Amino acid sequence: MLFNSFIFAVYMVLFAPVFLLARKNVTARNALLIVASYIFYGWWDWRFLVLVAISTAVDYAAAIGASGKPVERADLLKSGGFMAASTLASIALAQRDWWIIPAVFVAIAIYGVVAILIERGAMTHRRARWLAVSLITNLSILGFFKYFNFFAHNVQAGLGLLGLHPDFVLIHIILPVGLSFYTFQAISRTIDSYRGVFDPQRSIVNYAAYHAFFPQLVAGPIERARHLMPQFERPLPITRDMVETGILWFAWGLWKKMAVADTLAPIANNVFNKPMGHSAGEYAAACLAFTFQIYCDFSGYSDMARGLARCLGFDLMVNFRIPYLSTSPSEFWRRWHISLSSWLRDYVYIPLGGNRGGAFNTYRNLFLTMLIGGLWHGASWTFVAWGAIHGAIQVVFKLLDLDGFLARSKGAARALSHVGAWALTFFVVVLAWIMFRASDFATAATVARGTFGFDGWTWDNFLPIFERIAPLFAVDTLLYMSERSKIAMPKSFVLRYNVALCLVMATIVFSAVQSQQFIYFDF
Amino acid sequence: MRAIHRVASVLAFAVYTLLFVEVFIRIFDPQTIEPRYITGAPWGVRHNIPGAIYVHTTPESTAHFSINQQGMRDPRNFAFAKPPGLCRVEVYGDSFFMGYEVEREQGYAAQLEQKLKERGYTVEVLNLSVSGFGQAEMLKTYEAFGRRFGPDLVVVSWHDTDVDDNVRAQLYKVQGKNLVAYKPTYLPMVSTQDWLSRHWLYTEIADHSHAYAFFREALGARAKTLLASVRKQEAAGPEDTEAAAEAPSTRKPEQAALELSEAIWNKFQDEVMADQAQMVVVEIPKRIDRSTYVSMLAKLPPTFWGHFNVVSPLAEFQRMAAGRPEIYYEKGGARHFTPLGNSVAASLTADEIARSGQLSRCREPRVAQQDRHPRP
Repeated sequence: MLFNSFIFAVYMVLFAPVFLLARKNVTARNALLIVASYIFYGWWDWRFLVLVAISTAVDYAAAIGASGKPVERADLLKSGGFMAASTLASIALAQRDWWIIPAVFVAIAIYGVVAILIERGAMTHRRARWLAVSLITNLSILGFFKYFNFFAHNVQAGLGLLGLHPDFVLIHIILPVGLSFYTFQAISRTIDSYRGVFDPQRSIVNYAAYHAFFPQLVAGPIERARHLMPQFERPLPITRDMVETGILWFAWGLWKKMAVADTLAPIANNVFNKPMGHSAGEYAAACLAFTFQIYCDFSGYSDMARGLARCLGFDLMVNFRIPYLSTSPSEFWRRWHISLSSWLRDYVYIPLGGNRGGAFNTYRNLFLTMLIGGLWHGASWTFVAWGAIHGAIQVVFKLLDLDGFLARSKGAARALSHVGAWALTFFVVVLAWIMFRASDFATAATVARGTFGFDGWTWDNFLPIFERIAPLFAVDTLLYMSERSKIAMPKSFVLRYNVALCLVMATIVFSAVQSQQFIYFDF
Repeated sequence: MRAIHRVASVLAFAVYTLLFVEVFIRIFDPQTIEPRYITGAPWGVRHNIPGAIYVHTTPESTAHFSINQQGMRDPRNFAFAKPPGLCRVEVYGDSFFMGYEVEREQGYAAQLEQKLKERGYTVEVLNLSVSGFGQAEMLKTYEAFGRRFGPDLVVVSWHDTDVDDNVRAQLYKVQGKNLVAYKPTYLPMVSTQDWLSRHWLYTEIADHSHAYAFFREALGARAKTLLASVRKQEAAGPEDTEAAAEAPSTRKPEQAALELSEAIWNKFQDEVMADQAQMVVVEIPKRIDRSTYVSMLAKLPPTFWGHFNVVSPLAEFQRMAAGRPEIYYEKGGARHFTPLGNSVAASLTADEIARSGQLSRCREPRVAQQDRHPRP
């Protein structure tokens, strides 16, 4: 189900009154959220609810075990029962692939045996083993559905270079929507429990509602348990202010998606889908269009998720802070997809050693983290290359100490150097997006080469892009400044009503004829 | 008192919202105001409201409409009995031949009459076009109404939307290889519009509101697309169902839709010929941009048009494209023919009528002679 679809509007009309009735009882509210979230997700493909349920059930028990608490028989029964019930319901709704039911029951049996063995083991190893169960389960699901064919294909190619030609079978695998988001969120909760920074509770209803919370299930933000989980463990007030601002955030996200991202998509697609034979201006316009398409597509989804959650009484983390105004690549990553970059920092960069162990190790860790970040986005070497570019430019900026230079500069030189640093950062980020958008290296090379020319730099090529990004920057900057200066947004109903009307009308009038799927659904 | 205050507040907000939406659309996306004065005809399809007077406004043109008592865009009313020595041409089409975006005199039917008279014909052209018509509704109108005027020639348009229109109407269906009548009427939203049209507020809104025009077009287009898709599937027969498993359909929905249009065309021509009249098909090329046009004839197999008398302005449009004249309205309107586009189509039709000798009994011999011996 897409936020910008008619069916979602119908879904919310049906869901909202029931939610309002149930919201004061935590268990009833969370049970309703589980059902609603599973319908939301299953609308795309009911079968893949099984994966959500497996990840939920395993991490429910694994986090308890990893935190040092004993995993009791009741916990295992709840965990296995949840997996079994969800699987039966999902496959019954899908009405196909019945083999999944016995397969999951076998998996539940294996899981039960493993759990009992871990619980009988030494206390010193128990926590680590539960952590391993979580990591193996989530990364196996992620690895199989997202990376199996990629690695199989590359192993085959590698062996081919050695003169070996094994007959690998590439399987037709559908990538479940939002897989990378909910597995990373589940992993973070178990790791935090292992580290002792989060205390997991024993309610599977609360946890399952958190794990599948539909506003952020399929495209984030990748929440941290210590921020979001407590909200599922108590009744939440829903004030008029929350509903009004929630609606405004949602409307703003919807405008970004439908009026900016979807209208810029054809400009980018026109060049990236047929990369030959364009003028330099068209190549550059396509790169610029994609730069803002992906920002509005993804940040628009995050805004809608935050707005929707806020209307339900929940607070989701901020995922974007006008990243294209960054003056260095590291600042860009502190403003772009904040929930992922902070996840990579906490669970990859720091465990790798972070900035401890000297300059070389710091640069190595930074580069490797960005490489993994690139691979997270998709099973393709272009994504790996995109991560490598970002890793490399961060290393270069750190080597040259450009951040330090900017901090030390004063007066007119400070303003000038900031503008220069912004221009350089933006230019590099746009160039890197070429690698991200291109389907292969040849396309990326053609587009990148094509932009360095003098023909086609006409107003006609760029006007449709500037028309869209001018109001985007104005509003984004206003929101950012008000957040930074801690200026409370006006609470006048009349003002908010007019702003909401403007957003809704602008979305309706300026939205693209052909809507596009959210780019990050594929990640 | 408190309840009254609340109701008044809600009403005030509702009115304010509507005004806001109207102003917003007028500023950022001014619309083509093309109210449709359509009602149901006794023969079960749409018909222009007799006696209606209204105006269409687009960013490029203003067109005044005055409908006669017989539902034609014409100041004259026509007797069913044809005056002696006069030939009658009936024009059937959709909004293109109805003359959307142009004044009546600049429309296709009026220009055709003018050009035929210039070529020496004693003729009157009756315009039975209705916006939104496909050949199914045109045929119904001809059978129940048009043939009573005793036409000598029937001119029928062939336009991009006709295949879908014919399927949507469900007035006919193909059974085996035969066209059979299916549903007795096709009156989409007509009763609702009839009811609304009785209220001055609705007619004021429909005639002047940009917001109304915006939402009507947006929702109407979606509804039409959805309906066409569903009915094409119905026309093709069951698919992916238990019934299909028993008797699998070999036809795709698009193919079934084209077969339906072919069958309707054949029946239309048979009916016209049964009345001792002749038929001319005029295609309305699809405009891609100012220099690119696509033939609509290609929608049906090339052999299909072999037994029709077809006029295509495509080549002339393409020839004229080099000079970049405006053949279709382009800026925000509904992209109908300009007076020039109508003129070209009417001239080519008149030329074809003269060439083929149709209506020759109504032509001054002197002029006809000139045509047979054109000056170098």
